[in-house]
Amino acid sequence: MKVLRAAILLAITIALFLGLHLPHGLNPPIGAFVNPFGGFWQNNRQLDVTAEDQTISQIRQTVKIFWDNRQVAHVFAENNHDLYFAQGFLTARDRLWQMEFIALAAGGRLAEVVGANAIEHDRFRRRTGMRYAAENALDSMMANSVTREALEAYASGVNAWIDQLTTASLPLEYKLMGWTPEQWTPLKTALVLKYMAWSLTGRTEELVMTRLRKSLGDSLMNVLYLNPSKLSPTIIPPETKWPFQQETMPDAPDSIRHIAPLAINSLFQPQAHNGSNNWAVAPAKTKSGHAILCNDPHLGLHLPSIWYEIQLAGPEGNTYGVAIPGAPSIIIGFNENISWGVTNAATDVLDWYKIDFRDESRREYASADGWQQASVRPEIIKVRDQPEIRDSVLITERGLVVYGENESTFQKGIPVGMALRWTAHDASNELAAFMRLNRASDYADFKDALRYIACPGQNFAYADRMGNIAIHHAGKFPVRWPGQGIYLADSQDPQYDWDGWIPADKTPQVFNPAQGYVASANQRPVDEQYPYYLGGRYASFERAARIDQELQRMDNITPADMMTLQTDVLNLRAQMALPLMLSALDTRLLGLSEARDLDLLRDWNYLNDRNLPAPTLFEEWWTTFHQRIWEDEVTIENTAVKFPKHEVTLSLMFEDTASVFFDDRRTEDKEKFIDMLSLSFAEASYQMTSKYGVYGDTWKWGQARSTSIPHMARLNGFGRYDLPTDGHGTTVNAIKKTHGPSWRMVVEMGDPIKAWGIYPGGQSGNPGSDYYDDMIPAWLAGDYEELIYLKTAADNHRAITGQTTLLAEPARGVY
Amino acid sequence: MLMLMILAIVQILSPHWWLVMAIPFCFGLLNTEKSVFRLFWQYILAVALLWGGMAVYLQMTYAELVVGRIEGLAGVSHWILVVAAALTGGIAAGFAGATGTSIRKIFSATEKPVSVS
Repeated sequence: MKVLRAAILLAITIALFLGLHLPHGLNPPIGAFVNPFGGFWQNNRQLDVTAEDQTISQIRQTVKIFWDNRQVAHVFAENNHDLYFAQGFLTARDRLWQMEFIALAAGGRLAEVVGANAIEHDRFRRRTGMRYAAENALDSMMANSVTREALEAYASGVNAWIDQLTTASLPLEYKLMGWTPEQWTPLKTALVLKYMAWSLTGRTEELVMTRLRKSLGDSLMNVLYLNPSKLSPTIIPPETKWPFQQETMPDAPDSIRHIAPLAINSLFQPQAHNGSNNWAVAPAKTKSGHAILCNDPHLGLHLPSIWYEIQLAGPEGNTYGVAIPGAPSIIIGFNENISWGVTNAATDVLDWYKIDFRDESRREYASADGWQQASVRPEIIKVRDQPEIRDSVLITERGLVVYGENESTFQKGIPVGMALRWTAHDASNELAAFMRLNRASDYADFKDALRYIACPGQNFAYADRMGNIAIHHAGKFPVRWPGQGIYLADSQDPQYDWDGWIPADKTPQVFNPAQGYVASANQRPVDEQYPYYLGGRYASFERAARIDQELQRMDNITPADMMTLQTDVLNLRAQMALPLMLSALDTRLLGLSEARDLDLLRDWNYLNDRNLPAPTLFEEWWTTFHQRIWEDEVTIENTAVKFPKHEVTLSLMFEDTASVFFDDRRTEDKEKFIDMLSLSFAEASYQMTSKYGVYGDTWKWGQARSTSIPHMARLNGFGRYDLPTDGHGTTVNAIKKTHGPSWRMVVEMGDPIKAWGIYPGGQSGNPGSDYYDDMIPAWLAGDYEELIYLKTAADNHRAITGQTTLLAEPARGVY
Repeated sequence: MLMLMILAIVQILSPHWWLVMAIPFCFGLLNTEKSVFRLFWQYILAVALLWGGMAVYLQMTYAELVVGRIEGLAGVSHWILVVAAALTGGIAAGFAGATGTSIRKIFSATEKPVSVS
């Protein structure tokens, strides 16, 4: 009897142990997770407490870290190794899960931690050559002694942090998802950088454009999509003279083989999400007589935050700014002498080539020189709780074959049976550029640093202590004939080759222009005078035009004026279009609610203010109007595939109200401009009620179009949702539903340098920390924090709240 | 109660969750006095108090934010999380202890309880 009782109890106990100890699918092991001594309860604000001192065997000399009231670390190191070691160590302290998650995603290894759902994601990353590109980049970074030292020291710092983690202090997401951190390596840094490259240059429209060309023809394609914007100022002032001719000027070929477009089911409506602003004003236009530099990169917002703010003071310079978790050095910032900021260049650096294989084995493909052998790169995708998947990438001289003819694609718009040629596949060392920028002391150093920028190409704005300003459209851009790269290309036609690269000193750039400012907002960088063709998908004109308008108008500029401009929400599109729309609208047959809506718009000041209902109404009317005009032209097999830019509609309204485009070709009537206005207004008015209910608070812009900042792994409750925000994708303050200014920075290059910044999140990646999302209220309000730029380790500042000293081991610290 | 004191100290030093089974199991093996039933309930109550108490303490001091996140994720209130911690720890300890002592009782079959009259 006793034996039986013991046996039953033992069985229950063993079952209980296993049930509590093992993970259940993707749910965490219950025992460990709910344990208040080691589980989620321990990821609390006690982890924010900073150590006073700590002995670390890997560093060579003492490193001093000062903490300010937002938990930004100000690092003072005696040598470069220790500087980047400390950056790795501190970034891991605050963002370990985030950086590892990005590295795993970039490298196509998510299925290892989240299971079979991520297999197609991982295959896509590998097939687009993320690992291949990262390995090539790593070779160059390791061949350069400066970047090699930084990469290795950074990895060693991350690993020193990982080694001292305990069951209790393991970041919350690891506990939740049931995995543990792996050692950090320089390859992971290369992957993180490639992840940024893909998110900024990986947009691909060739498939959609090729399909549209077939139904619209070349002349309509030009009118609807390809003619350069008449409303957008170029980044480089138009009077700029180019003291060179293109050496090997390829003309557009007379005849090229166009690729037959692929199946319609993979078409999509491409969204231009990522955009940014930067500008610099010369001393002649500022009140203080010092140059001012501003930058606000707009990206998909998430928590933990995209950027990690840090001050890095070493033997070769004292730099402050924001870094990418996972990569050493500062990406956007300033030092004692210069400041810089970036916006995406948006110049096209990615082409697709149709590949014809000889047979099913897909080992030989047709080229201009006959059959060529493809090389095969094996890829093994490991899957949590399942057997691994063996995959391979075919590499041709036209690039990497992402999908075979019969495969389904992970992302819409990716063509099948095509090779991807992307500049990020080539060996490059962007880290060298950023490390040189971090230490640059003048314009010559700045220019020298930019030679290392390959992909993603960026518009680098510059301002220095001497009062110089500049902007460079920097990157490795292929030399192509006008129009090359817009459509899918034929791999067998040598006319589709890339004819080398635009030399770094001939990329669009300007130094101290007469206008006294430089600015960019992802628009077209140059006009037709520039000797090279730069194909790109540039942003709509509004942000660029508004910034240009304001900078031209302003004088005696102060940093506060620059903050006002960064948070400017004037809707230029509405300001241009609405008066005409209101005056042309036939108001005779309006119902009561429509009349009220009309009054709302008449009284509007064109600001996308969160408290106004008019911006919501205008957005609804404009979007409907724009879509009703174009959907008959761009609908292919019942799918509207890509609308022209909004400025095409604007130009039409002002220049040609009798245009045939206003007619809906699918109806028997001949619609005109005013018919389209009336139709779209009635529809918008109806839609407002059906989307947002009866007229009231829910119509207000901040509620109708709110912003969410989700957690990177989309964990419910770990993000911030439905934030009432000002701004619009086309206003300078370019806040959208899930995108927006990821960092706002204003730097006045005086003595001392004064700087302000804010980002929608916080320094800590720990969801249980006070510093996880503490800056969101100020970001929402358009407020800034003063950036505490310590000149030396002896500098006192009231905002410094703590200090950590990293001590080298005595035996090594002596020398 | 010695078991609870030792478990509390060990848990603070080493946060592994399974100690909540290992230590009660060992104490169960050493137990000769209490009945299996009584020890089972004592351990459940003791460890539920330890884990629940620690959870309440953390919730009220440092862990309010992280508990809020888990509330959002799991869709339950923080009291449910406290109860889940208490029940998990308590039941695990109760069964482990009862198993330990029931094994001990197999081998102490001949030992009659000494009745002092």
